[in-house]
Amino acid sequence: MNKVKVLLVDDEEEFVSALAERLDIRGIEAHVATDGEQALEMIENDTFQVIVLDVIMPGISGLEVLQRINAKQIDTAVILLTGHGSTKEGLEGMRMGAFDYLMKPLDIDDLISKMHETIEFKKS
Amino acid sequence: MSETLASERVSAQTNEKTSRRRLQQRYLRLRRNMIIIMLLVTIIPLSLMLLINAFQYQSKIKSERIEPMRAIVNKSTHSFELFLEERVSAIRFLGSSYKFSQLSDPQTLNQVYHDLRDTFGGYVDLGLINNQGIQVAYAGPYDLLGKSYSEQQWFQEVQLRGTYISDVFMGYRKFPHIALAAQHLKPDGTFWVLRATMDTKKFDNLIAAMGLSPISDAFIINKEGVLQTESQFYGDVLEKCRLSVPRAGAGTHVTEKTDPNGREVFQISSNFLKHDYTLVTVIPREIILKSWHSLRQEMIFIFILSFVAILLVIFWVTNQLVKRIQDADERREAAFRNLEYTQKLSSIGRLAAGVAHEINNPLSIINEKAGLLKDLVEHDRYQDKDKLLKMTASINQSVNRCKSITQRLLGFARQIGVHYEMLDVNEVLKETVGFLKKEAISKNLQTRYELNEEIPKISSDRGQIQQVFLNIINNAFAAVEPGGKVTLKTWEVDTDTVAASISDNGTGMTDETIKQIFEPFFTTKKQYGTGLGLSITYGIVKKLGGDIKVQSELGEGSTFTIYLPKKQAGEQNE
Amino acid sequence: MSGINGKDVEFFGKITASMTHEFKNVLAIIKESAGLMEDITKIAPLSDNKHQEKFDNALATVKNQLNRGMELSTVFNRFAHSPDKPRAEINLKDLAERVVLLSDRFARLKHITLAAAPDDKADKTLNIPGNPVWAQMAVYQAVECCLNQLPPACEITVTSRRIDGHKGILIACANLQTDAADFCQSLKNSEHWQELETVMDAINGRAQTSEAEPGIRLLFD
Repeated sequence: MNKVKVLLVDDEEEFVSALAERLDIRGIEAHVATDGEQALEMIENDTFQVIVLDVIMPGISGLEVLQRINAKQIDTAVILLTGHGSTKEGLEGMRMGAFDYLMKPLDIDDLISKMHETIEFKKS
Repeated sequence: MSETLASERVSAQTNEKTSRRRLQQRYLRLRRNMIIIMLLVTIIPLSLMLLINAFQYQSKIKSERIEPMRAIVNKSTHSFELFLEERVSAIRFLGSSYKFSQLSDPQTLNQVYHDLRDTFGGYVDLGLINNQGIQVAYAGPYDLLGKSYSEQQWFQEVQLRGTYISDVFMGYRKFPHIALAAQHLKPDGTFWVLRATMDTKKFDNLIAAMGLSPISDAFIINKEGVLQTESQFYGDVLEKCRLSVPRAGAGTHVTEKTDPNGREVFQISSNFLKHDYTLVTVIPREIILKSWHSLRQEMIFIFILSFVAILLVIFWVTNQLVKRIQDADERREAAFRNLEYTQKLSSIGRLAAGVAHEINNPLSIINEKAGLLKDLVEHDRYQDKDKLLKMTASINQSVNRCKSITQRLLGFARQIGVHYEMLDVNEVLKETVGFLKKEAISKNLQTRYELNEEIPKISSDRGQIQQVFLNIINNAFAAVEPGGKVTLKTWEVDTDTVAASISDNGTGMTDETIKQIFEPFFTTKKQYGTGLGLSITYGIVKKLGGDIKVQSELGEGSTFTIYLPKKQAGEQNE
Repeated sequence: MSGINGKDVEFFGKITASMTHEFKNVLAIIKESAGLMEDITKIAPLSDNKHQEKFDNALATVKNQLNRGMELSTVFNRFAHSPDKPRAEINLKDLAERVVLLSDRFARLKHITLAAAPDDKADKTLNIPGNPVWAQMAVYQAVECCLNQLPPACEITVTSRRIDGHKGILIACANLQTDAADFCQSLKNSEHWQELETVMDAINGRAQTSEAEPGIRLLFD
């Protein structure tokens, strides 16, 4: 069964674990990383179809992770998560090649449809 | 927190007064300096010019006026000399034209005399004198026939020079005469002299012809300084001239001096070439310098006018300038203040935004947890209870997180402005004492409450009321000894005012201290304490529309009473 | 110009504080709802329909409050950033809506309904250059002026539109229960009116009372 495999990267553990569980309930295999380094490691060792990346994190920022993903030429679509009311990072990320960005707090249905969009786009 | 801003405000008020005064002084000084400099820059050159011009004009006018005078004197001198030459020549001519024997005849002499008189006028007598010096013939009014002149000076002189002109002398009939004589040499070597006397009327005429003003004087003096003609101011004829005229060389000499009458005069003296006479013209300074004097008056008048005009203009210009400078300064200051506030507001905005931004994360968490909760419940109602409880607990946690963030934001907001709400004074008092609980416990203090629970709520700014109470209660706690007592009371004063008092049984204050207790920078704490606490408190209470009073007895304790209005002016009842 | 300084800081503090209270309310409700869900989960069997309903309702409340919280967060964020530039292009419709959101609490405390005009009635093309904080302050002052003179159960509508050819914002009051002329007079006599005039003057505009609506007309150019 081809389950969609995503990696969720956010420093807020509570948030990201709840989100992962909710995606699970909806039939999406969600893995979790709470910092950039961990995320990159996981990306090396596994393939994901979508990476959902929080831009503002302590340590290496989401944009930096994106840069490194680009550098490694990993072919996974990236969706950025930005704080409510700051579109700057989102646009910056899109310039760097992210597929799109969403604002927190999230609407889970929005996220899922965006993920499918990404996968479709990548296929074409 | 609001203390910083309030303290800023109170000390700023006192600072403003002193700086305002200093500013006024600065502008006065600026004005004064500008006026002085402008005055110097305009008046000094003007005065210099005035003086230089005056000096130059004076000497120019003087020389211009003197020159014609000099010329006149010169000319007159020549006229005189010509006149005398002419008269002597007439006598000489007679000597040549007639023989001694002819002239010896009284009738002939008389005729000649009359002819002479008719032709020339002025001759008084005519006499023939032989080589012995005896007047052998005489025509004239006086009885001088046979008079001997052999011993007289002039007789010697006429033999030497051939002609002789005497000084003026007082003749018979007491009017001035002048004697002219001419020697005629006979072929055999002997000689005879023809002598005539003349009155000096012609002299007066010649002098009159000079056309001098009535207050000027012109006269002739001989080498001894004896007047030969009438002088208006310096003596009569044949008197010694009272004006001392130096016997300078040939030519016309101009001297400025003060005459014996005290007048300032110009003295022009011209020596006759052939005779030892000097024509002296004395012209009062005021005549020479008349045009200078009127010019000078005009110049002074213009100078004064200019000075006044300059003064007025300088004052007006300075006024305008200083006003402009003041305006510009004020506008610049206002712009700075504007900028200050703009920046302040901008940084406040950023801080507020920064704090508010933090809320997003906990909100996201709540969102996901609640969402998950929903999912779990929808998906499987028989879900593990523990799991659900974990979710709700998590939501709670996040809510608390949000709350602390909003609390920070609130605290922040309170320090930047005044915010009115209905509050219970009792509650605020108790809350404030709560902040100082640790302090009270460590000092083993007793806190007693005598609060009137019926007092109405007041509309005021919680943060600032808290600050006021905090300051006073803190002071009270500091004033008492360990084991001391602090009593807090509240009551309704009247329909518009509520009061709270904080009393302690501490050291108390002297009357002197009581008077100054609310002054800025006044402190009894020698080593620490800025002295601003109570003055800030006072400022805050006043700003809230209330009042604060203190009572104290040395050794007994102090009571601070804070009066607060129920509602702010202009507020409506809610 | 100098009379306003300090007042805008005060205004900022006042609004920030008010917003914070709004947030706190939201959080309080969420907390309660979460508490309720907790209680239900602990005590009652989840199969019980009645409890399920209560649980679901509590959850729905949480969701609603979250939305509200986000709304408040957005509007406050914009407000907090308004002092960033002392001069900017201000859209009058946005201005009207924002001030309504920011001052809603004050209106609620007086039981007065405050709303921005619906999209079909408001002109969204009106832009003026000015100081964003002062512009918000002006509209807020006008609203507050009305709030202080109105009895409960009235309605205030804030609309951006052209007024006599000028770009403006209209603060119209309904269900007055008093004479329009008296109302306008009381507006003019209030202390808030003085302050309103000062702020409007600082942004080169002016304020007028109007018996037609009745209410206050703010002209910005």
